[in-house]
Amino acid sequence: MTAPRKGLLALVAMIRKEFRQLRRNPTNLRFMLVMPVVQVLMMGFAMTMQVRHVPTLLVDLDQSAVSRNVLAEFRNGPLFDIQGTAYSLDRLRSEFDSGRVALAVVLPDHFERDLRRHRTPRVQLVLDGVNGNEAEIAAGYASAILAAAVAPYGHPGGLHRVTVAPRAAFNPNLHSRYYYIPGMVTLAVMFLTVAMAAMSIVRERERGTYDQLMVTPLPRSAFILGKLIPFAILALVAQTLALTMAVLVFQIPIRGSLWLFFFFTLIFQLSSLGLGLVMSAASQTQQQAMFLAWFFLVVVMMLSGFFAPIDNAPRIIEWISRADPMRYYIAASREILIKGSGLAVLWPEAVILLGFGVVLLTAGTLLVQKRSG
Amino acid sequence: MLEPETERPVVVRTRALTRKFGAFTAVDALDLDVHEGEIFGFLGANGAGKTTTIKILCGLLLPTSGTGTVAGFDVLTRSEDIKRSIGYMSQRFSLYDDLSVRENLEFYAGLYGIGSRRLARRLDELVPRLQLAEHLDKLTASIPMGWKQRVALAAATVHDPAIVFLDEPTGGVDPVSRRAFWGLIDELARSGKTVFVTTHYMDEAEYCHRISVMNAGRIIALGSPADLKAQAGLETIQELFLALVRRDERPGAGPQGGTSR
Amino acid sequence: MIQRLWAVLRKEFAHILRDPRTLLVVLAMPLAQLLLMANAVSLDVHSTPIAVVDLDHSPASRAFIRELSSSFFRMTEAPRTTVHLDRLFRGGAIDGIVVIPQHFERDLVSRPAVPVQVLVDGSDANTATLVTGFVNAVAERFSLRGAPGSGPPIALTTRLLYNPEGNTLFFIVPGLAGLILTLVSTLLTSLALVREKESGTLEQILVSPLSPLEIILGKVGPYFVLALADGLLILAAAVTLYQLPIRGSLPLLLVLMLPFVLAYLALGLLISSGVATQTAAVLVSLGGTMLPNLILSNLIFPIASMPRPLQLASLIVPGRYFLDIIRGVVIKGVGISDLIPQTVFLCAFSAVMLVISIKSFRERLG
Ligand SMILES: Nc1ncnc2c1ncn2[C@@H]1O[C@H](COP(=O)(O)OP(=O)(O)OP(=O)(O)O)[C@@H](O)[C@H]1O
Ligand SMILES: [Mg+2]
Repeated sequence: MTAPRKGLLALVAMIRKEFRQLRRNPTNLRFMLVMPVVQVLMMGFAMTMQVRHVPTLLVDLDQSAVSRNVLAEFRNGPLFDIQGTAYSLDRLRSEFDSGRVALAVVLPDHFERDLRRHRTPRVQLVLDGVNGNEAEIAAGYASAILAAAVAPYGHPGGLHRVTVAPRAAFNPNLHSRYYYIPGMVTLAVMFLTVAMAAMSIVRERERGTYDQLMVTPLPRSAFILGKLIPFAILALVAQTLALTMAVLVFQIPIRGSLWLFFFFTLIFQLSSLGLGLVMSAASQTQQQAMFLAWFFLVVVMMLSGFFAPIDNAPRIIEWISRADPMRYYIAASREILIKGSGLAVLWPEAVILLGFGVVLLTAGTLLVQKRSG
Repeated sequence: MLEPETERPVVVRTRALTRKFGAFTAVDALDLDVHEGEIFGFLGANGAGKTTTIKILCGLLLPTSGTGTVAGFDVLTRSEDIKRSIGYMSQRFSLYDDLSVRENLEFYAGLYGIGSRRLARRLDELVPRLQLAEHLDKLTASIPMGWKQRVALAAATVHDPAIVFLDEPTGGVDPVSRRAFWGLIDELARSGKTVFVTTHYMDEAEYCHRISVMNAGRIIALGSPADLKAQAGLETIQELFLALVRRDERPGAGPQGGTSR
Repeated sequence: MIQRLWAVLRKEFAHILRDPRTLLVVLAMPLAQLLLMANAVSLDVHSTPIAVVDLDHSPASRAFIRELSSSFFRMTEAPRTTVHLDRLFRGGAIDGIVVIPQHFERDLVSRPAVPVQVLVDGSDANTATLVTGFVNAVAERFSLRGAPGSGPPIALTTRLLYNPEGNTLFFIVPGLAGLILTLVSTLLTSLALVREKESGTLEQILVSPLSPLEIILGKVGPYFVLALADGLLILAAAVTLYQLPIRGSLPLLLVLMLPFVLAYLALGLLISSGVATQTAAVLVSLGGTMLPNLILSNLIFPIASMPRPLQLASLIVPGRYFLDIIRGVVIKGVGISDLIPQTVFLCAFSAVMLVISIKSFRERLG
């Protein structure tokens, strides 16, 4: 029999064995397939920067008909959750300290009188500034409500307001889902495949089967491919599953070519599996492998622009992030799924991803030694 | 047997084979010749260096110095060729617990490039010989220790290697199963295979054609069990072993028994 | 009792110290993560690049632009027309475009409402939401100043308590500290125990005269110490690198960290008694701690804006309470009297977890 054919047989045997082991452990398998779906669904519902239900305290120091009317406007709509009305400033600070309220609208003494006499009463918005962004946005909403409520008491001719007419390119309703889900799907799947790939070689080492493998003529390439291919297939299945769920549940429009998206997924997987391989080869125990995997995954995720656009980060971080393969993948998948871009625009990303994949896989392969100790 | 073992070709040969771990010498200038068709017993206290020697011969470890050939291939440069000619059963049980017996065998056959037709023929031979039929489709984790060792032997010989290294194959196995297992080893030797086996059971040493006794990385005795007992004037291998090790550990005592003639 | 416990503790510490790679990972990596994450997860609108297209060129429009730039954004060169504005987004150089219409000043006098257009890149919906919200806030503030020629009906002042500058790191960094602590605690314990289970040494310990409690204390103790060390390290880094003020009492924070870390150590213990392999332990730890703590803890995304079922689920996520505590003590400088519900929950949660895990540990193995 020829050597290549033997190598192929060995590879097939490796792949079959890995799949059998996966199947023998249905809990793990189920976890790997279901977790990304759960993650994507949860994140899809949870990840929004929209500010709603701000716990609000209305402070009415005037207790007039007008002040009551103005404050009553805050009770409409989902923006503010009114925690109560106070008639003095005594307990204001403690309400913030305990976190019961995040916004207080303070109407001063003589509010009605001053308003009617055009004497410009001083209204105060007090906000919990720990989350600065949320505070600013909530202040904006509150100002809008106040402005509308006091308009009838303004000068003859009414109040002249500047309103904001937002228009979002590509995503008119500003669903953060559109932004997150392509990345989320990948991330969920990548977490599992990298972690599992990282642990799988070390596990053989810990259990003593590694040496047994190494005394066979199994070529190193077949060993590594045999380890990685099942995870790659599993990852693709999990990804398809999660993406399908996401599309169905969140009605995400897929503007570009799904095939192109899968192509990018595939070449990105080269890098993530290569990363797993390097970590596995560099570790002595599964614990080590796991921690390495966890660390790098979190870093890779944070630098990828998944949570926040990386362009706004400090220069040095932005530079580091260029060594993050996920950055290119996230960018490409958003372009494809949301903007409908094609390979004509995205070929640089494809080339970079392929480069990362080749480098990481080569590094991992070189690190795997066909010897023990 | 038609001819004395010593006249048959040498299939495992080491000269001044040495392996150090840092400052510690685990295998110290080992000289060995093992002949085709021989059952070669490797005795020695814990930590004597038996497993280390076997790992070097199997290509899992590189020697620090010295030379060694297995099946005519140099352990330093041709370990991948060696791997095609040998079977190895490690001291630790190392099959996949979460695969069935058949799946384990299929897997190892695949690693050696054995296609399904050849494997079927091979299983027809191995399964009755090792009496594995009733356990073939059980999960490896669920079968008794004695059978696990047989499965490991089957996996190590599924590709019909010329040389088999067995590192404590009968550890933790009951006397009946051990006896049966040695019957299998004997059959292997009869069919022309060379068996290189370590053990801590002195009764098993009696089944070997030749034994070597190792202590602290060196060989302190080598020969057929009968010759060695006669030389020392002792009744059993057990007594022989104890006497040899005791003598070797006296300060100033050099290696005894020498290398093969 | 003490002697036997000491034996287990010493062994566990020896394991940890013998394995410097893991130790390094456990101590250094959280720091590195904090550094990278705090900088990478920049939710800071102050540095968001915004372009303004002024089609009016009037004193009023310039006043509006001043208000915009003084408050928030990094302003960039503005094109003079509105054609092909979308193109600006393509290169990703800009996150929002504000268009001030022609006759802005005139309309402010003659019309009740003058629309200013904000264009945002919707494929990054979070930044888009933030930018729209901020421009909205600016516009409202501008309106309340009153139009030229007419005084404002009210004078609005806005005060941000605790963080007058609106520094987003004050929000992110304590949150990250909580997240990192969680992972270290859960993963460490669950892996440490399952490894012993896989290698069979756990049985060896179980047949010894140690009581399950002693075993668990002995096994968990060192990781408890490690996790606390991690917590301190992260805090120290946050103070030195990000000028995070610790306004409240540091001892109080450390004391309240105990039940939190304990809760996750117990969770790790529970996981390890329920699974057989390290792989499974990792899967469950990540799914059971990382995910809820990332999403359901107010770390980045406000729970209040989530759908009801998720809000309810968040009620049993310890991270949520711990973030209240750490943000409360560090940023707000509040004392225990304002953190009683959170403290009670964490203590109860960790006690319940510990009891359940010891029980299940005993059942499975004892
Ligand atoms: N990777 C290693 N690093 C350091 N020392 C090692 C290593 N492997 C083996 N040793 C040491 O080398 C010596 C020989 O070990 P070896 O396993 O070869 O002994 P053995 O004869 O097989 O013993 P046993 O009967 O216990 O199996 C021992 O003292 C062992 O501690
Ligand atoms: Mg040994």
